[in-house]
Amino acid sequence: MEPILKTINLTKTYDNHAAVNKINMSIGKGEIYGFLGPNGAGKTTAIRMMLGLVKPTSGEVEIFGEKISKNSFKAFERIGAIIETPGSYKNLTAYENLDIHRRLMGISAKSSIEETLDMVGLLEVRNRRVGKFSLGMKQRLGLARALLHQPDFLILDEPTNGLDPQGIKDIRHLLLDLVKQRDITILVSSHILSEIEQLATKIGIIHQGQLLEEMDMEQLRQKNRHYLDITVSNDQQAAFILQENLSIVDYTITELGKIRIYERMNEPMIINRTLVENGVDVAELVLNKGNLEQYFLQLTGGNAVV
Amino acid sequence: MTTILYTELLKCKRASILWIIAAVIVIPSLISFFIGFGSWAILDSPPKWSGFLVFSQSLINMLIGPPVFAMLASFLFAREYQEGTVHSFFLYPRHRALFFLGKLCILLLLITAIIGITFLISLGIGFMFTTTHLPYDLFIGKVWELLKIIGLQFLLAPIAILAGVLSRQIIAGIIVGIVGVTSSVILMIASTPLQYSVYNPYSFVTFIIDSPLESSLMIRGFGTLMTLSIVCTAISYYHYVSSDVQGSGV
Ligand SMILES: Nc1ncnc2c1ncn2[C@@H]1O[C@H](COP(=O)(O)OP(=O)(O)OP(=O)(O)O)[C@@H](O)[C@H]1O
Ligand SMILES: [Mg+2]
Repeated sequence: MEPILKTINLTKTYDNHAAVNKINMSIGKGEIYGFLGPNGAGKTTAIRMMLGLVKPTSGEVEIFGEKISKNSFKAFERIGAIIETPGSYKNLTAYENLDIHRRLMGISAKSSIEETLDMVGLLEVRNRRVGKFSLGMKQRLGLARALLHQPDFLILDEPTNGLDPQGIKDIRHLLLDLVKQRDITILVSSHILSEIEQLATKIGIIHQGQLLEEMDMEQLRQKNRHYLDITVSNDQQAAFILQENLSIVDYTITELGKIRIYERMNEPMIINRTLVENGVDVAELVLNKGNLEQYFLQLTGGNAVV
Repeated sequence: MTTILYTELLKCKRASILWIIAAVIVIPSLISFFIGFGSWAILDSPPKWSGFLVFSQSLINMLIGPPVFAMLASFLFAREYQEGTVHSFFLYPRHRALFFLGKLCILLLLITAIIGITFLISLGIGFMFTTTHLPYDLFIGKVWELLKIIGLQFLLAPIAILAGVLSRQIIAGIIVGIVGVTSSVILMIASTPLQYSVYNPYSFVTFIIDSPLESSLMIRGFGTLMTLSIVCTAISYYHYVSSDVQGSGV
């Protein structure tokens, strides 16, 4: 199937420094793509290029199969976006801000404004001036603007910036609902893995302008399961004992004399005793809590803001 | 295009710039009022029509107009950058050239409205205080001057637009306007010969109303103003339409 978004060697160079370096990514229909990277990794720059706001130094972007430039109006009608902290006209109310958006998007139904305000939880303050809004409320208004015209593709650059934990949760549910109900596709960037971990179906990790890794969330979880590494005198015999005496079936023999198990990891003493009692010497027992955050830190050289 | 014009006006609703516009209308009107009032109170005679109409017009044209219209211009063109709305603004399915054109139209509309309303108020105050009919010739002459002022002030605006678009800051246009007026006042105080000072567009717009210039100076001055205006508009347009968009929000 044709991907919703595709970048081909997308590159942006600022005075000999590549902010985005030959990125090739692709997002399929219905996916929630988590675009993950520490501060300054190039997320915003990449997203600006995807929307024709910044001209790539080289490479290109295709959305809905169309090459994107600043005049890709057909695509713009089907895209909703938040980039960095979205601004609004502070002298106007939330309602008036969305009304301007509605008119310029060419949407005739006025009811769409209140519906969208309701969706993001701003209906009650619709007639308050945005200048008096809190950061989180401004962020929600930005999201409302991105949603009002019922886009097929949402591009959200750090949408949870400035939101409290409840707000982050609200938005997560809102996005998940949208995907379910309207079958939309989402690209969401973040520098905090835990924020998009429960949302994304696919993750791309960007660091210093390069796309280091791209994988399904399921794959990533597998890769980062907790496990217990046991070094034993006889791996075959140990495996047999684990299976027979402790009913552990989820394990692999990683190398000679080493077994990695993914079950009953919080009972290392029982495992140890059982093996020893059955004549297998245990030289070492190491619990690995390889969580995703750590994995992310590892990839990005540990300077991520977590 | 009507949508663009309408939303552009809507965006000015409750903006603080409106207070400044109001002040620009009120101050010359107040002065007109005091001219009429003072004439009766002190001289005990009806004021002359010409006094009313000349004063508020030249005040706007020479002193108040350039900096305020510069502020308006750079407000219109730089606000999206400064307010962080530029991303969503340039993601509408409309050509950026239309936004540029729309803002120019709104600027012309506002300049016309400010100058026109001030004139009408002066006229009204005139009817209050004078006892004579408004001479037809004077009226027509003043309306003609009014149109010239509107045109000239509009031609001055691109200098401020350019400053606003390049710096992406509203303040830049304001500074340009203030510097412009200051320079014209300095040239005037230093009684610089006309053949040099016409090169300063901010001086030129004041000469053209008060005392008719001889045609060679006229060509020189108008040519300078026109060239500057067109060049600034062209650079602004190019920059506005095709440069990378990176305004930060909040
Ligand atoms: N206009 C510009 N001129 C020069 N360098 C720039 C420009 N815009 C971005 N950069 C550089 O490009 C790099 C990537 O910036 P970008 O804003 O895309 O990062 P980011 O991943 O969005 O970071 P954050 O998490 O802080 O938002 C940074 O090193 C930044 O300094
Ligand atoms: Mg960013």
